[in-house]
Amino acid sequence: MTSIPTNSGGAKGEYWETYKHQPHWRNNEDEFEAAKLGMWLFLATELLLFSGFFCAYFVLRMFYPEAFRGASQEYLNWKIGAINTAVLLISSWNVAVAVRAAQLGQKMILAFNVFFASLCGIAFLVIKLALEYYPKYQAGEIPGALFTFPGGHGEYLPSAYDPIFLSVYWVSTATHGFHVLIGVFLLWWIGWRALKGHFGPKHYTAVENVGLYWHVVDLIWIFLFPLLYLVP
Amino acid sequence: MTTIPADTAGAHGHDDHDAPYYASKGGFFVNVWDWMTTIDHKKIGVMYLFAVMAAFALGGAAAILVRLELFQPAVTVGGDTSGMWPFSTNLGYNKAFTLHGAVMVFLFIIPSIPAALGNFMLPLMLGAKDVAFPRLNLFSWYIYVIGSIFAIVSILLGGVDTGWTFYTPYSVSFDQYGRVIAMTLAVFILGFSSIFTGMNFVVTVHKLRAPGMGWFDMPLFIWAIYATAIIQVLATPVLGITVLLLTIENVFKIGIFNPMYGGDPVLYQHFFWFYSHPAVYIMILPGMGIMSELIAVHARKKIFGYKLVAFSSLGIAAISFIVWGHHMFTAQGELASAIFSGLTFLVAIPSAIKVFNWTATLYKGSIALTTPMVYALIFLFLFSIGGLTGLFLGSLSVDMHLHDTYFVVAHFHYVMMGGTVMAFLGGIHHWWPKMFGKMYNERWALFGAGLVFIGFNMTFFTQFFLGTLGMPRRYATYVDEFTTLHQISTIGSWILAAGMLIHLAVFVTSLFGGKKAPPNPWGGLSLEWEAASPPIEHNFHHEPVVRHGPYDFDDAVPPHTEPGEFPLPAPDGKAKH
Amino acid sequence: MRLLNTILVVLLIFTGLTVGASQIDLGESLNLWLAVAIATFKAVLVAAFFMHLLHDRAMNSLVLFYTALTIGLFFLFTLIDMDSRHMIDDVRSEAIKAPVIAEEARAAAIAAGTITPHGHEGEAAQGAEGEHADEPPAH
Repeated sequence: MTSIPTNSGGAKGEYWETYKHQPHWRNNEDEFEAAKLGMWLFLATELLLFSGFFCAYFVLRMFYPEAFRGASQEYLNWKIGAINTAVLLISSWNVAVAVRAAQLGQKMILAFNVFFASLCGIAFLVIKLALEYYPKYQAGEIPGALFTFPGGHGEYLPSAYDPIFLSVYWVSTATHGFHVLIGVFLLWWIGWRALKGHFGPKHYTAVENVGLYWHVVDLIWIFLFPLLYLVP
Repeated sequence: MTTIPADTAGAHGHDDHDAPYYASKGGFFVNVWDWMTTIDHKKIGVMYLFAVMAAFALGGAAAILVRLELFQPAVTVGGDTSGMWPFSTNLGYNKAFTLHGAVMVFLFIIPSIPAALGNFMLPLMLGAKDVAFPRLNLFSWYIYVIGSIFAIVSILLGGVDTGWTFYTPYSVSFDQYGRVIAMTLAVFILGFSSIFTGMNFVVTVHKLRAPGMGWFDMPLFIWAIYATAIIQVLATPVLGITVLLLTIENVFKIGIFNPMYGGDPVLYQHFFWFYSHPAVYIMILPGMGIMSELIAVHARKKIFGYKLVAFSSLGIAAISFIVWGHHMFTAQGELASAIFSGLTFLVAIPSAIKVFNWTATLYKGSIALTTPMVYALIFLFLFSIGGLTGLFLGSLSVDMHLHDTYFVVAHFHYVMMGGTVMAFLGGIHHWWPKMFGKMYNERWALFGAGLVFIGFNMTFFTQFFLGTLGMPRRYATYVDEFTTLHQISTIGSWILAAGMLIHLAVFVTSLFGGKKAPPNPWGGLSLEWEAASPPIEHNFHHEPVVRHGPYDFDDAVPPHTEPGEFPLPAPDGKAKH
Repeated sequence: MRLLNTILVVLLIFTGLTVGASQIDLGESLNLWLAVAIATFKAVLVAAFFMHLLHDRAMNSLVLFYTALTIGLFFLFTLIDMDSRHMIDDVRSEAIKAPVIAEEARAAAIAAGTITPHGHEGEAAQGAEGEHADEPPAH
C-alpha cells in the first residue's frame, strides 16, 4: 500500500476526509465494518434467493434430462452466454480495481472504472435483450402455457417438457438481469459521487459495498452460464 | 454499583436531555410527522407493537369465527342456513381459517417479539444508542405496512381459501381476481421486512455491545434474538423465491410447481417448508429468550447453566434447517421421511435443555408471582405439553395416523400460542413500565392471565382428543360424535378472548391513568434497567460500562435500588439461599 | 494490481475450459459435476480476491460459508427425496407429472404439421417456418 497521495482530488477538507460517523457509532472504523457485515448478510440472502432457481433446475433436470439437453442446445446459443460471461468478469475486475483506487485516493481511476463497469453491465443487458429475449419472444419460445411449439428448428422435435427448461431459463435470467439493472444504477450513483470527490482512503464504504453487490451478481452468472447454456 | 448511573427522567426538572423518548415535539401534525420519519428504535418498536397487536386482533377475530362455525356439525353459524352470514358456507369457512393462519403467522407472530419488543429492548440491553442501521429499521417497518396492505387487499378481493401454506396445484389452478397473487406478493414483501430486521440485529449484536460486554455477558434474550436473526437472514430468502415463483406461476403459467405443465407439487412443499420450518423457530426462539429474562428476574436467581441456554438457542437455529421434511411425511418418499423423522428428534435436545434449566433456576429462587412470572409458569406448562406432543408427531408411524388431524392443530397451538404468545404477553407486562413509564394494574392483569390459561386449555386440550379420534383439520363440518368436544373447545375460545380483552383494558387504563413507574420496578440487572422509565431519546446519558453479568443477583445491587430493597415480596424479609 | 489482472485472466481461461468440457460427452452426471466444480472454483476466486475475503475479517467469510452450507442442506435433502421416491414405494415411483396441457399442445402442433414427429418429413416443418400459426394452448 502506498501512502495517501497528496494531490488527486484529496485536498484538505474533502468529504471523505471530514466524514463523521452517525451519532450512534463510536468511530468511523466501526461504522465501516458494520456496513460491510450488513452487506455480506444481504448478499447471503441474495445467494439464497437464487438457490431456489438452482434447486428447481437440478430437480427438473433430474426428471427430464433429455428435454433439458435438447432444449438447451436447440434454443440457447452458448456463444452469447460465453460473451456475456466475459463481459461480466471484466466489469467485476473493473470494480475490484475501483475499490483499490478508492483506497489509494485515485479519484479519476475510481470514476473511470466504475463507469466502465456500468457500461459492461449495459452491454450485458443489451446482448441479453437484443440477441436472446427478443428473438425468443418472437419465435414463441416463452415459458409455460404460452410456449407455441414453433417450427423452424429443422430436424429438432420439441419434447413436451421443453417449456419447463425455458421456464427455468426465463425466470432465473430475468431475475438476474433485474439485479444487473439495479447494479448499473448503483454504479452510476457511485461514479457520480466519486467525481464529486466523496471517496478517499478514509471513507469509501459505498464503493466497497456496491462493489461487493456487483461481484455477487457476477458470481451468480458464473453458475447460471454453464448450467443453462452448456448442457452436453 | 455497576455502571455510570443514568438520571431518572424528570428528576431534574425540564432539561430536554431528560425528556422521555416520546415527548411531544410540537403540534399534532408535527408529532405525527416526527413518528412517521423517526429512526429511533424505541419509537419504531412501539409502532411495530401497535401494528402487530392490530394484526393479532384481526387474526383472533377470524379464529373466533372459525370456532363459532364449528359449534355445531352443520355448516352454519347460529343456525343460519341462508348463506347471508359470510362464514356460513364451506368456502367462507376456508377463507376464515386462511385469514386466521396467514395473518397470525406472517403479520403477527413472526414480527411480534423480534420486531416489537426486540427493536425496543435490544439496543437498551446492549447499552447502545440505536440499532446498527436505524434508517433500514424504519424502512423495514414501512415494508411491513405495505405487505400488510397487500394482505388486506387480498382479503377485500374476496379472501384466499388456500390455507396459509398456498399448496400447489390448488393455489395456481383456481385463482380468481388475483387474490392468491395479492396474498403471495404480500408474503414476499413481508419477507423483506423480516430479513432487514434480522440483518440489523445481527450487526447490532456484533458491533454495538457496550464496553465490557463480552458475548457471555449478554442477556439471554439477546442470544435468542441473535439466533432468530440468523434464521431470518438464512431462511427467509427461500420463502421469497418460493412465493415469487408461485406468483410468476400464477401470472405466466410457468411449469415449475404445477403438474399440468410438468412441474412437481412436492417440490413446492420442499421449498415452502425449507423456510417455514425454520420460521417456527423464528416464532418460538424469541419467546424462549423472554422466558430466560422473566424466570431469572422474577425469581431473583442466577440462570442455571447460562452457556447451555445460550448455545441451545444457536443449536435450535442450526437444527431447524435439517428437519423441514416432517411436515411432509405423507407427501414425500419414504427414505426422506425416515431421515427427517430421525433428525426431528434432535430438536428435542436443545429445547429440553432450556426447559430443564428454567425449572432448575426456579429451584430455591425467591419467586414473586407477578404477572410476568405467572406467564412464565404458564409457558413452562403449555410449552412442555406442546413439545412432547411434537415428539409423537415426529415419529413417522404415529404421524401417518395423526397427520392433518386436530392433534396437529392442538400441538402447534400449544407451542405457538402456549409458547410464543404467552411469552410475548409476559414480556409486554415485564417491560411495560420501561416502555411507557406507567405501571399496570397487577390484580386485573393476573385475572386476565388466569382466564387466558383456562380458556386456552379448554380450547386446545380438547383438540388432542378430537385429533386422535380422527377429526381432520380444515373441515367446516363433522360427524355428530364430535359435537361435545367441539363445543367445549368453542366455549374455551370465548373465555380466551375474554382474557385477552381484559389485558387490552388493563393496558389502555395503564396508558391513560397508570401509576408512574420507577426505573427498575422488578430489580433487574441487565442494562435496560439502567435507563430511565421511559428511556430518554438516546437511551443513556453516558455510555454504560458493564461490570457484572446480567443475572448476578447474589452479588450485585440492581440499578436504581437500595441494597435490601429486593427481593420485593419476601415474607420473612430475606431471600432464601 | 497484478494480482487482480492474474485473477481476471484465470477466470477467463476457466470460462473457456467449462465451454470445452461441455463439448466432450462424459455422461450426464459427470458433465454436470465438472461444470459445477469449475463454476465453484471461479466463484471462490471471485470471493477470495475480487471481494477480498482473503484479507478481510473472518466474520465475513463465515457468513459466506454458512450461506453455502445452508444452500447445500437445501439441495441435499430436496434431492435425496426427489431421487429416492422409486426406492421403496411403487405408487410414488414416478415423478408427479401429468403435463396434460404441454402434451396436448405438442400433439396439436404435430397434428398441424408445425413440428414433425420423426424429423424425416422436412417439408412440413419447412412449410410452417416463420408462421407460428398454431394457437396458444389452453389456459
